[in-house]
Amino acid sequence: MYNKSKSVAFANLWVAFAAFFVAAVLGLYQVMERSGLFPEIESHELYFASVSTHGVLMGFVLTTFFIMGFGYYTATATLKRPLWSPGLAWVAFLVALGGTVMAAVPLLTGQASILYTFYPPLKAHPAFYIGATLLVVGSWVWCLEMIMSVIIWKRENPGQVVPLAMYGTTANAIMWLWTSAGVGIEMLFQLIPWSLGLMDTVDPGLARTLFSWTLHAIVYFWLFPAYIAMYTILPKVAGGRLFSDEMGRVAFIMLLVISVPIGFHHLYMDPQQSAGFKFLHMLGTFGVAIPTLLTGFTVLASMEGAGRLRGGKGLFGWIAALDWKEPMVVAGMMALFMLIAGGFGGMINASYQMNTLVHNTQWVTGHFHLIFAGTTVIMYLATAYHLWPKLTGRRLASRGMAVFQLWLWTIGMLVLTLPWHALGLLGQPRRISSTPYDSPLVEQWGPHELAMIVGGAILVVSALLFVLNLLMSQASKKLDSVSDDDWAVAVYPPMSVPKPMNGFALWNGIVAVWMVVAYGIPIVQLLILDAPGSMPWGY
Amino acid sequence: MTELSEEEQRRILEAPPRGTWALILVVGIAMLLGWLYFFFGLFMSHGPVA
Repeated sequence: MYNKSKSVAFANLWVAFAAFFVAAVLGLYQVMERSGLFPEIESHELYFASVSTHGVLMGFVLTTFFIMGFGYYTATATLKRPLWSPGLAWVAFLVALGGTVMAAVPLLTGQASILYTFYPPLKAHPAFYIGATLLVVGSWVWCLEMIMSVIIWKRENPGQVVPLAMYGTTANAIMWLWTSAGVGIEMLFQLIPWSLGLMDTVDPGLARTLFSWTLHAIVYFWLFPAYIAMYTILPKVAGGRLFSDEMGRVAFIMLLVISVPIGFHHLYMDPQQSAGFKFLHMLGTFGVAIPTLLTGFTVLASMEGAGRLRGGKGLFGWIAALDWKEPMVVAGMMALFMLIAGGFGGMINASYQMNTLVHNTQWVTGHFHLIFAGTTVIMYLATAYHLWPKLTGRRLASRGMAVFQLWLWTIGMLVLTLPWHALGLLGQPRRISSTPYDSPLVEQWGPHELAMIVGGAILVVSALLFVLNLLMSQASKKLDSVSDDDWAVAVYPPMSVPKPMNGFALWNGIVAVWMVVAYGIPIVQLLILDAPGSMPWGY
Repeated sequence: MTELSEEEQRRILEAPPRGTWALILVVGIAMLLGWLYFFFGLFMSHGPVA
């Protein structure tokens, strides 16, 4: 791999994992505070500052920097050429890092306790909004870097099939440009001028509509690298082959096209949008389950091949025959398991009427953590173990510890999130710092609250082991020379694919039309109607 | 894996993924039953909000 690209990838990954560790520790504080079992640490102000910081670090900082770092590695290792502009990649890193530091100051001083979602009339200090915007601007530069790298490669290699890992990375970059435009507009025209005092009031309905444009597809922005690792790293590491390259391309295309115009399932209970548009977005939400099913099938089929090559017999004997001492195998299988559990929760959330059963309850937090902190993050961790020897030139300090750490992460995540699902069904609201009620309802929550603390503690131990392993590997004197060219090969490697499966022009056109249909009238009506603005809450 | 000839490896890799189909079927049925339980058992039985 080219050294300049290696160093910028490495810098991005370290920022990601530093944020991850701090956020994990904050998470443990939050479950302890929220349980009400430790009155001495109860503080509403500290809790909401912590939740906001935890969310920003995990949801925006870990993800954005990991995606950028993994993208730089993927671009150079699969295309076998330098980045389009390594200098610009460093600019992206510094802009995103500067924005993160800028946002951190109000977060840590309690002036941005708005729960990491951009929902006015909750109001944060302008430095938070400007810092978060800079983080997104840095990611836009990364998108440009990925798109230009592929365009140049295609010019240099006419008629060649873009490697699947890079095809997925480019799909993610394009999807992120589409989806982050919503929050970008909200920031530039609503939140930043409002927080600077240039506007007295803000329209929360419009802001929530614009944020919904970003809010759901951002989950797929985070999930894309996990899927890319499942398709292009996992089968090879497991000792097999990718079941189908084309299925991966179809899944990436579907994620790009379907995931953006579906954000209203976050607004089912909002009054400013009509039932018809919510129903339209619900159909899209169920549609986006298809690429996930395709991914689950293709990855499992690849693993079945690997297991049978290792001697697995019968209908399910291949599962036991897999190499469970390999971190990527453990992470891949556990990620799929948590995806199934989290996906079921998502089906309930997405069902328009049934959403009332769980809306704004702790169920939603449980679902979100299973999909993000479970499926997505466990694949980030395993990918880091896979990449570290390639980036540092040193052997991973302890593979055994890596496997143990990934099992701990899975167990911790299940112990944390399954009680949250139960708490949601028992009526516990999400986003509360305490439950100071003395009623039979709250008493039912006790055992689940205790379990979530145990889960949080397990996760912090797991996060510590992860960071320790990376640090020990970097300090190790055991050199390792690993090839960058060890991507999974398909059972039938594609010699050629139809043009739409090797590019994105057609799909961009479809997204554009669908976005106009799904968001055109809902946004225009809010601009035409003379809705009264809202005064700020909080800071 | 090293004990298998290339021909055997190819035969295994090109075989239909029966185990995966079975697993997907089990998961699909479980999810459908779970959804039905939530809809009829929890949501509909809850009745209208007073």
